[in-house]
Amino acid sequence: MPRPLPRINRDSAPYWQSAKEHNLKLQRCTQCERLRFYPSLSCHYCGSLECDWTPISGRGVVYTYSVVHRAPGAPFADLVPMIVAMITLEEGPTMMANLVGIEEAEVRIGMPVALDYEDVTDEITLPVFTAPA
Amino acid sequence: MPTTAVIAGTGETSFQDLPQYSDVGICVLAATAAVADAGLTMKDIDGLLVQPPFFASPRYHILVSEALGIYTKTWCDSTSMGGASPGAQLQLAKWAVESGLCQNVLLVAGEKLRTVEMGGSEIMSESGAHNMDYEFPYGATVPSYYGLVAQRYLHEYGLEEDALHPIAVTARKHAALNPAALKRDPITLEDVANSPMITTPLRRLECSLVNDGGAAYVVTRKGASAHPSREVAMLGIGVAESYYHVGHLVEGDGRGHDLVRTVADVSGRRAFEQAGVTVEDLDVAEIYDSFTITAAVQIEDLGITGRGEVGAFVREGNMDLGGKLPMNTHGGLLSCAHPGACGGMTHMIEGVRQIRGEAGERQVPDCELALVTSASAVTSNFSATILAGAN
Repeated sequence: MPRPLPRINRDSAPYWQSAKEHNLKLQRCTQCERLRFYPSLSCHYCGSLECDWTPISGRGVVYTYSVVHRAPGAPFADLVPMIVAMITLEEGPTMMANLVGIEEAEVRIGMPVALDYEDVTDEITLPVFTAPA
Repeated sequence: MPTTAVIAGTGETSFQDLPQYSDVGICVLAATAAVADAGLTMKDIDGLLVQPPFFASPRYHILVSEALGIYTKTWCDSTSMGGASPGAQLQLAKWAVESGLCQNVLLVAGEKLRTVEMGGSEIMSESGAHNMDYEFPYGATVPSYYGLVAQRYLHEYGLEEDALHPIAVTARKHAALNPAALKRDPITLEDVANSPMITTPLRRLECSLVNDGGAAYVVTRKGASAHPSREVAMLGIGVAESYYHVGHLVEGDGRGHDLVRTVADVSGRRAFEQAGVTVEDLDVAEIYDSFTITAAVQIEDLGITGRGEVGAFVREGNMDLGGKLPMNTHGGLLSCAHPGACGGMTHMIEGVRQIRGEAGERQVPDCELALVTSASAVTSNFSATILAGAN
């Protein structure tokens, strides 16, 4: 059973395209200038419909995490233990992603992490985070 | 004199496996018991409010009314607040009765969370209980969301991984006194610490059960039931909701709310202000406990303990029967049962039972004031209800 994958829609197409290109971009509101996660029609802070797509630095810190030991269903059976983490990006927003290449015992809240990419299919690349180089 | 609404009847099914019934059938069992408990008949019911299972038909509440034989209703609807519905629905039912929209409102939910064919990740992928595009592909399902909250909670207050284990032990102590509870064998702190890790820092005994079952209650006009002395008043009800994506809960509102400091404080403040009482006045607290952390953040947000102090407070016996403020006297979702859509209704029914003085071996002596909470969507949706005798 394959791993569940995101569905791409009008609002999120540029996000997934930028992930595929390994140059992740988020929407920046041209009204209030805040970056937001996740892709959407309107700014979550001021409601403006105007935005551009801005590459991010890829630097962030771990806000919290949980190491999933019991697979949440058959699609994840071969992937556990996997680290689900909330990463607060240097640019402000907090996003969920897996931590990869970091031992469970090494993970700490507040530790710096760096953006990386996991090419899951030809179409879908998932942003993930790893230890900074 | 203005009409005052009361809870006049409650009903629950068994929490054992019920594969022989449909979800609607389970609703019928619970609803029939609740209406009988109020001394009314189905013909008296003119309002119906249903908490449907996650992937039910948009017409589910109408199907339930058909199964119950309630042809004409002046109000019939579903709510979608998940675990937080029990309080939110009571608020609506109270308004419906007190405004004259309805005479007798039946609230009901039932679900086969355990013997259903579709469960776990299928519920996630079919219904989007949480985000399907930016969260689920990373392996996030319900327990791991609460793991994220718990890990941050422990970090914020410098606590060890076992800090919240006493909540599970207390729930089990109380379940031992409840013949309807599914897990009644006593457990120790050591048992919790040795139970398998599900998703750090949460171990199996910190996670709620998964069961079949249904629950229902009837809201009517004060004095209109067959047993006015058993009617229970809703002195205060507060509801508050925040956001859905965990990243947005982390960002909070810039006014003190974030992933571990939830808007449960708003629901609590509203309920306590309406009731004109304080935490010190409470005799019992039935706190929604899908995980130990779920109960912990609410107890702190409601001001029952200080920040980071709930684990120690419970460990010292303060929330045991006979303690300062007994909690989850039925055993809660952790040890009594978690029958899905009606999970939080079991807390409300236990609150009613305590106020009526009908809780048997686990009765809190002279119980005059009960707090009942419900919660859902990680740390997003909350309700708080304060119950007292109506007459």
